[in-house]
Amino acid sequence: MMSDTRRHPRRQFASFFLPDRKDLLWTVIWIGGLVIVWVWFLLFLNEPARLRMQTAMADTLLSAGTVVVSAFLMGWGSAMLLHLLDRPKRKRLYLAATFLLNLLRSVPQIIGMLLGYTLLAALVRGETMRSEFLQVLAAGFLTSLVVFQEVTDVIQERIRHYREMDFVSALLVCGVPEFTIINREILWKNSVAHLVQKAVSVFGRAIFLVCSIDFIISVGLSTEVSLTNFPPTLGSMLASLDSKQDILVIGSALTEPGLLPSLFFEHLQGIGVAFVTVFTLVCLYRISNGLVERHRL
Amino acid sequence: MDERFDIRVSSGSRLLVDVRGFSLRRGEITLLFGESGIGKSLIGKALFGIMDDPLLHVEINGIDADRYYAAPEVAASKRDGFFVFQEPSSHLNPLETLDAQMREGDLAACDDPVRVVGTLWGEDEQRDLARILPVFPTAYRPSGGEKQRILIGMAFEKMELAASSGEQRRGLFVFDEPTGSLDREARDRFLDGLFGHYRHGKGTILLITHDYSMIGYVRKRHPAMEQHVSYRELRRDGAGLSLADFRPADYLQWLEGIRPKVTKHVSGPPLLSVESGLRIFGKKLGFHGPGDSRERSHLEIRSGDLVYLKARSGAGKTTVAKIIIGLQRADYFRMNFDGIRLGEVSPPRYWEKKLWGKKMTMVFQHADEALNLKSTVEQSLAILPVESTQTEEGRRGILASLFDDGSLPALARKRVSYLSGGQKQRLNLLRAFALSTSFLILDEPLNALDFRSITRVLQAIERRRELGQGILLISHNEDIFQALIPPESTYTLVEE
Repeated sequence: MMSDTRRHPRRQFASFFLPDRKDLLWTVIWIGGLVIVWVWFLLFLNEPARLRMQTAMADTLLSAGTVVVSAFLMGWGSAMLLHLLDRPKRKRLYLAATFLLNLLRSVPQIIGMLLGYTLLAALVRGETMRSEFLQVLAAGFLTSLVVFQEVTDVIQERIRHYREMDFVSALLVCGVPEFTIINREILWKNSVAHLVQKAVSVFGRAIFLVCSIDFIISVGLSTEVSLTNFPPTLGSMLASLDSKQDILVIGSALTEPGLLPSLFFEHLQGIGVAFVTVFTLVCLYRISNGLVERHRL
Repeated sequence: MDERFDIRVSSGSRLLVDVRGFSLRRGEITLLFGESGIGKSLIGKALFGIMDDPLLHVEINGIDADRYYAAPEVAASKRDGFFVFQEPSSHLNPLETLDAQMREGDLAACDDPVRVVGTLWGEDEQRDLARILPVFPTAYRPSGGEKQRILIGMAFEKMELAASSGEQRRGLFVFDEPTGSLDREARDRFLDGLFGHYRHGKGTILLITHDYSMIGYVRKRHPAMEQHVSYRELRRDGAGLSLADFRPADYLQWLEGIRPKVTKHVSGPPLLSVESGLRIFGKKLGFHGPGDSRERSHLEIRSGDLVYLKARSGAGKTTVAKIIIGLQRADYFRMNFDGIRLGEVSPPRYWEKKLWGKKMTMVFQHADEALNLKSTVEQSLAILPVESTQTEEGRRGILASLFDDGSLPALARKRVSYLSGGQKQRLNLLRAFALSTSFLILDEPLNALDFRSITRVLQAIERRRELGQGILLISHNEDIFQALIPPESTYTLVEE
């Protein structure tokens, strides 16, 4: 016999922060932290730098968001394709698709992104892609090419896990199409937690990759592609001369403690970018781990 | 002497069990019936004192369970008693051989544990027992039935020890669905052993089961024990649970009233014909029958025919069902279905495209595993590719055939995971009944059901048969199905 007993509102509020909901706690910390930093910038960072910071943050989040959407579409598509080809009569096609995907997987992510950015730079230089918005989306799409197979793996693993279970067989013999079973019954009803956790992890990975690649490009790996070609992101902001000088002050503050207060008022751009980047990555990592713990993934 | 208990078990904010006035007769045997998942096991564990899940809060007779269990007489009933788990794997230690586990702790005092445990194996099966004793138990070896018998045997050892020391009367022996994985013969040996040990020591025994056919066995084989046995049934009563006496006569009279149904539609060529000689997992399987005939034959089912396939536990009944339905690939098999010849080389897509949900379907034996626990009851029906389940009215109509009208709106919105085992089983059956297939396989359709649900399910099966559906029925519930199905529609699966 099961019935719900009334829950005390205060207890309900407290339970939101219970140890088994670390993902929610860290989401609140992340958003709260960003709001506090933004208010600090509003008070102490000069307006042009603040506006550039805001644009960089928005571009980075938009690019990472594009990575998640694009990676999920490609991941789902490739998982469905592999599932469709995984039949005795289509063994050759299955092997060919697996080979191509593994070939793509074998390219180191950072190299893959550099190659993609070279293509993107060519489009920008040739003025084929002028809109900054489109450039951010394109950067996100290119990044997703090197991470989408993580989503493919999760979807395939979920399908494999449930395929041997009686409930899938029972639905099959009731005449329910396999495509419906996979998408509605397995992925939607039984794998949302897994997919949300993967989305958070891909989002964090995308921010890390976008920042890393922008930083690498900005410090001058290529004469063809430069910082000025692309919309600002946290990575390119970090590589700018002002930010580097700000960050160098941290070293000086270690030997001259008197410089410490100036870090938070006069060298805000570099310190702020570095903090927001690292803080965001740590929070996303914690959210992802929290989801794993809460849903026992 | 009756002892009365008020038992309340909750997990966080969810109330799992709230039973008032659960009575247990000291020094007697209580058979507790009721549909699966209603809370029988929780009651047994709460009484015995093994509520070890830290998330569960247990109150017995209004006091916290830890304080209750600390009372000397309660501690003694646990120390001198034994608990046989429904799922024996959760009791057996995978790092010790079965032989060692039969001799450890208090059981070390038992002179001859193999003799005691061996009473649960037939004379011709003693070599099987000897073979598994040196085994470290894993999920797949020994079989569920063998593990269950080992655990029951350990309880018998404890009963024997307690009887010899005169302490059995103090002990509480709880058997939680001990016969779930046993075939009829093994179940009978268990009951014979239980009553035999009881006669020597008169312990308090709580036997949790939904196998109502035990009533008939007690009356037929152990009539002298009836004065020591009480039958109780745990029932859903509005929002709570209630415990009532179960009148064995109700079941026995109902059973006597069952008459084999002669089918009207049975004529013409068989809808399904499966040849003997199926080969799978290195075994060769065949059919004997119909009836008691020992002759090898085809398994034949015509439209409107209800055919009962019986076999000993683990013989491969479910495997054969899965081969017929096209879910399991055999090394060799031949069958004719609706004029089409099928075998091990037939493409699996044929079943998927032409047969599943259109001409044949199957009800799996464990509803818990056969339903998507994350779906609601309504969603479980709405997903079916038939018109009748696409409207709320249609779905309610289907549910009304096995559920009470009053509970339908709330039930329809309930998540499957929140249903009791019996409710899940009824939903499991309804899903197949909602499809208008010409052939239906029912694998243990009476699993987890209480007496009232059993009668309703049998009526529903009969309606399907009258509509001309060919039905293959697999069940270890021989009492009921041998009464219901005439011998000419009964086959036995044997290893050749």
